[in-house]
Amino acid sequence: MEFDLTRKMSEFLDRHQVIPLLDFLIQHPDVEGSYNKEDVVKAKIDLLSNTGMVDYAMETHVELYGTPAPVELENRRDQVILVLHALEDDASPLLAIIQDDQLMQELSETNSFTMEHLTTQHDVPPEVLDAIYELGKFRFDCGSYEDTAALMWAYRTLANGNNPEREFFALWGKFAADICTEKWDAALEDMNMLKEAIDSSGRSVLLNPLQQLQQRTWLIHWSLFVFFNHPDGRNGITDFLLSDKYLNTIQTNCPHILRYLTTAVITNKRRRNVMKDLVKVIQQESYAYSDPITEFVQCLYVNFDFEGAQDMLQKCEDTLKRDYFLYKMLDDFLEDARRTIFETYCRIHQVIDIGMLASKLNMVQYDAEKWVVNLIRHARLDAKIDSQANQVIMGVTVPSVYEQVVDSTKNLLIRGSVLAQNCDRPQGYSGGYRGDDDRRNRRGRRDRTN
Amino acid sequence: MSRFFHTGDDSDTSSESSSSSSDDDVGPSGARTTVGGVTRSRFLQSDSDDDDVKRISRSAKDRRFDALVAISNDVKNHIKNSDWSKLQEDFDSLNDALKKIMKTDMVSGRKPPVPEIYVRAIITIEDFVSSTLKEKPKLSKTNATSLNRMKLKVPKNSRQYKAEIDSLKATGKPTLYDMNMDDSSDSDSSDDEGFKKKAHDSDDSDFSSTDSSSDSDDGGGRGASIWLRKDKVTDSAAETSKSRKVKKVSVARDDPGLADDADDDDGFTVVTRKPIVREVFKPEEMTEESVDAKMLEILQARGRRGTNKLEQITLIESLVPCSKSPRQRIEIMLHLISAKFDGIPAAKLFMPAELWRSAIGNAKDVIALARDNFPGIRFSDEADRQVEDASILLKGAALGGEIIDPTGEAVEGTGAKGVANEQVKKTEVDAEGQIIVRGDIVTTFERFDDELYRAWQHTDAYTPEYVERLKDETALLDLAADVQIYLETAADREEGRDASDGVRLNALRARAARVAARRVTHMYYKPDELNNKVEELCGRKNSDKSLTELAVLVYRYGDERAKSFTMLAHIYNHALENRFFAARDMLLMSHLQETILDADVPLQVMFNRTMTQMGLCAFRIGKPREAHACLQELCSPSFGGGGGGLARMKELLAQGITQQRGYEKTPDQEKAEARRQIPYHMHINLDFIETAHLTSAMLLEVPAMALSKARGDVRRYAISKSFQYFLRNSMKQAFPGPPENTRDFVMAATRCLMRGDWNGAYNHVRGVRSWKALSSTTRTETLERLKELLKVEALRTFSLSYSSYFESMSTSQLSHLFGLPDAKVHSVLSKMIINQEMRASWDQPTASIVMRRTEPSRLQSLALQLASKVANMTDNNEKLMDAKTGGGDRGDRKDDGDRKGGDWKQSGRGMRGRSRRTGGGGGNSDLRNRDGMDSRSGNR
Repeated sequence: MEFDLTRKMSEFLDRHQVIPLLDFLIQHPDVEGSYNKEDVVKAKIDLLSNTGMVDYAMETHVELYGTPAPVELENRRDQVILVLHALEDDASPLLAIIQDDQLMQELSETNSFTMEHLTTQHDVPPEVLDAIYELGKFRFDCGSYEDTAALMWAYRTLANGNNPEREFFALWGKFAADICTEKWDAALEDMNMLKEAIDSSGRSVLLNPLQQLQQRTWLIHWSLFVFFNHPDGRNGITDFLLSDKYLNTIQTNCPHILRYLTTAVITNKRRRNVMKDLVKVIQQESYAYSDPITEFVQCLYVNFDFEGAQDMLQKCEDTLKRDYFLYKMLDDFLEDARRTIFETYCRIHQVIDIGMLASKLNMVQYDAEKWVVNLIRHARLDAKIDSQANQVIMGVTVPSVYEQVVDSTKNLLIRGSVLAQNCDRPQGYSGGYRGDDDRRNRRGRRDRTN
Repeated sequence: MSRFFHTGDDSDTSSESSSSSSDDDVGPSGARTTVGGVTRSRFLQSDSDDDDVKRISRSAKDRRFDALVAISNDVKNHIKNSDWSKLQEDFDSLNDALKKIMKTDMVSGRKPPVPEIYVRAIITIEDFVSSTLKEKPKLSKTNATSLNRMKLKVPKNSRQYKAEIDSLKATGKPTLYDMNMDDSSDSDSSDDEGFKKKAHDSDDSDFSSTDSSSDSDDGGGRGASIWLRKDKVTDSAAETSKSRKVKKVSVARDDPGLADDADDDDGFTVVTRKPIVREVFKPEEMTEESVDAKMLEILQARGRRGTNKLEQITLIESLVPCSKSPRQRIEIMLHLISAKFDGIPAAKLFMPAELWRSAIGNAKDVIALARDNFPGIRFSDEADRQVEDASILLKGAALGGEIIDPTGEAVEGTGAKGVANEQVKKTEVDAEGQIIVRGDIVTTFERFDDELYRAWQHTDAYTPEYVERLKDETALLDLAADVQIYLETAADREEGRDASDGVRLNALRARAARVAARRVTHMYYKPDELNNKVEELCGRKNSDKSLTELAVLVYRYGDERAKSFTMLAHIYNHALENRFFAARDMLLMSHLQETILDADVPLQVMFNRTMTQMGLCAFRIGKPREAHACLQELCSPSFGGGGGGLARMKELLAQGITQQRGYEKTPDQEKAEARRQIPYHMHINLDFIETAHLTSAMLLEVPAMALSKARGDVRRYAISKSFQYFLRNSMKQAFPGPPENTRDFVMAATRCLMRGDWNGAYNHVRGVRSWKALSSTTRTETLERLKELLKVEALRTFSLSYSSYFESMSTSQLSHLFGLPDAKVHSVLSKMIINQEMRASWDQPTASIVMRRTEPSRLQSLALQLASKVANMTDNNEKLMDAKTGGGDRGDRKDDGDRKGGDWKQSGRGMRGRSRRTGGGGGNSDLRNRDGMDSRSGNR
């Protein structure tokens, strides 16, 4: 299937996170026909048999072939259970405490959930801490995500900066677990912590620039789960991905993320300010990556080719509804994209035929008229409808000369006063205050001239 | 410097070809001395330094005869030594000398008789040739060829003087040896006799003294040289009387070791000359040890004053078949190669083609041998060197870099005694039983590369020789591939070993990277198309590895400079293949533009070349903005000097030496500049650069000018100052003539474009001659893109300039006018409306654009003007204030200061200036791009 990113994305995701993607490909009606279902299921089995979720793999196997699962899987299952028990034994002293809710509450109330306290008061040997980490890791592999999150949390709290690298991985573990259990708030929190840890490389964990880049790439991909499911996600993703470092990461390592970014920006109410930046990035990367969504933006904001944008919108629909992350946003996207087209269109026209507009917006004429009226009513458009000629007539604003004059002289006063102040000051002295002030004025002026 | 040295120089050059040519000098100048008495020939100066020897006044005619006599002496000597190549030269000079004699006398109107001595010399040579041909002795290669040539020449020559020869033969004593006192050429007055006698006596004593110490003396070389030089001078100047001649001959006969070799570089090579030339090694007679010993013996003579380098080469060459083991063979071959490198004549700036080719053949043999015997034999490397004593290193350096050092063990025993005493050569075997050969095949290869490069630099690019030398590149690349494969195999083996030696592994990798870096320099500037063609012609693959693979190797293991260079070469190649984005990303990630000013000049030149190629690439794919940004700095006319854009371009790209007005280069600078010139076949077409630059500037400037006019801006930021300068000049002309050069063509195109006449502009741009620099397909593509760009810009210019005269314009009319599809017109104009360049809006039902230009009233425009003037004044006041308080830390101003303060003479300087400026300049898309990229690569 054209423009499908599952393969690319799965490079950067955890095995457990790919499962929902594959499930989506198997089950979702819109995706029907784009992949051979059997192949996908096979892929899923392969995937599963590499994890600890042997039962699930066996089930899927039975489902696909109708025959009992092969002996290897059975053997593997025994192994997994064996290892799990061994790890649980190792970690038992601490595990008992963690699972004892009452005790935990007590401990956290007295602020004594520390390794020191546990060792002295509850006879927990220090080695158990590492066992907890291992157990958490293994449990995640087996698919018991909830336990993992708890264990990882416990590990991080107890280790308390003694093993920064492990704690960093534990954080990743918790993040993964939270994503898999769909606890978006917790996941968002984890994500921010991770982001901080990566950005401030050297404080807790030391990463070389290449590692940093990789970590960021992963973070970006994993964060998609959070952002497209969390209620505040759309704002979050634009802020997150458009920050310099992450934008650079996208450009360097994974330009395909631009699709998600673009979708988020278009469906975001605050898009105006960031659109310009996004267009630049899309243009720059157009040789490396393009799909209907980025092309839509290019048509609209670079070439002002409204027909092309309209065509692209059709393709966007096809692409979006087959994307695991975006299919839920399809309607929002279409609506917002349409409005974007229309707004831009209106900005450069004085008279528009409603019939033409309707066909462009994929609406019947009556709906289109209603839609325009709604826009006008919400004061988002300065226009009137000539219902006899069936036209929309745009209001025209000519910037007044007086306004221009006022604009260009507005800051003269303050600049003059700054000058006057500086004149009084002894020569050679320039306090920080003056410099800052002066520079701010300058910048202001430059913006205006631009 | 004393005059001795001065004169020494003199004889060096004149005796290089033959003694007769030096006589050429002597003749007239000697005569002049007689007449004027004031002007002294350089030659005679040396005489006057010594009070013992007086100047001798002689006629020009006599001098010529003397020359003849001197040559015939040489002939005798060379016959004695069977030195055929010398003999051949003598023969030629004999003829030259004769020609001169005949010519002078023709002035007096009668044809003089052929001098007897000449005829005698010819007969002698002829006899010798025929006798040699009969005997068929074993001769070295050079001698054999000379003999063959002589075989042809001599009889032909003899035919001319048949009568004379016959008459002389009739006397029964026709050869030089039979010549006695009745030589009629001696017409000297006898007054000088005493003088000359005296001089000669002293000469002879000198001879014998040097002779006695001739075996290995070179400490006294300097002193002896003075004497011998003098001797030579007096020889040619005074040797006339037959008595002395006979004496001289007898001296020569008595002492064969003395036989002078007039063709040596120095006039006094007698000293160390050894009679080993004729030594022929018989492989079956020599043992491995004796070959080693012989080699060492030859080596010890190396670099000494008076060692004949060519002889050494022949010697070592003849030693090659004697080698008993691959190890020995490799070593001897390596010596042979270094001897060949030594054999470069001092007067030549580079290695002659023949020598180079034969040497590279040897190198190929070496690497083949090494490969066949892999891993039994390996070359020494850093790991070994670490073990060694520092003294060995010193010695290695003294012996000349890549020569084999004597073994570590041997040195331990003899280290104190010094190099000369080193006699023992033991084969070194490392712990694994690998035989270690001292030598660095990579350095040797690099030397080949350098020599070839130098040959390119110094050969006239329009001659067939240049083409011949270009062909040699194939051989070089072959060798490079072989060497690299060898090194990589060795490295892989090292890595695969259990106890692999980290140092050694790194050394091997680093060497492979060095070879790779060199290979990259030979590949990067060739388009794939060319490479393929060459491959077709050669009937084989030119390289086993792609440029990228090689570059990756360098990035991984190479040193910093090689990395930078390879990176630039890689970018250049991307640009050459029109992969602009890849090139751009790579350049920005390399961060080279930040550090390039601290780099050495060749690297800066490379950077400039890369930037230029990027610009051309952008131009070819139809991106005038990027092209302009890349080329602007290169093409801007030089500051201060009036050399113009082209001169500066030449300097920055090292494509020709230019003279700047008002600035004299010191000889050192000139030499340095000559050294870094880029060979002709790697040049970038300057004319095309100019075309690309000006055309891009035109595409950007013309609409921008129209825009600022439409807006009524007072001041305007110039996109390209040089373009505006040219345009102003061109506009001054009342009657522009037909365009002649690139600039004219572009200016003519600009005039058209300003009227919105895209077709005229296109035709003018197409008329530029430098389009020939592109291949036909690229040319058509580029022109096609250019045409589209011109249409769009013409549309923009037109609608900006003339919008005030229209109430509305219809899309269909515009699209007809500019040959663009409706959609394109719509898109271009929409963009202008959105960017608020034009006050207008579309009337959708009629598909036309309605202008909304409101002319401000008089009062309004005055108010606007006033406002902008007041703002200006405040600006200026602030600047004054800043200057007063000394706080000039703002980015824009700093930039200016930097630009002026920089040393403008330095190549590559501008490029940094540019990157900073683009970083600082506002609003262009490139800027953001660059900044973004910068921080992006920070992540890497």
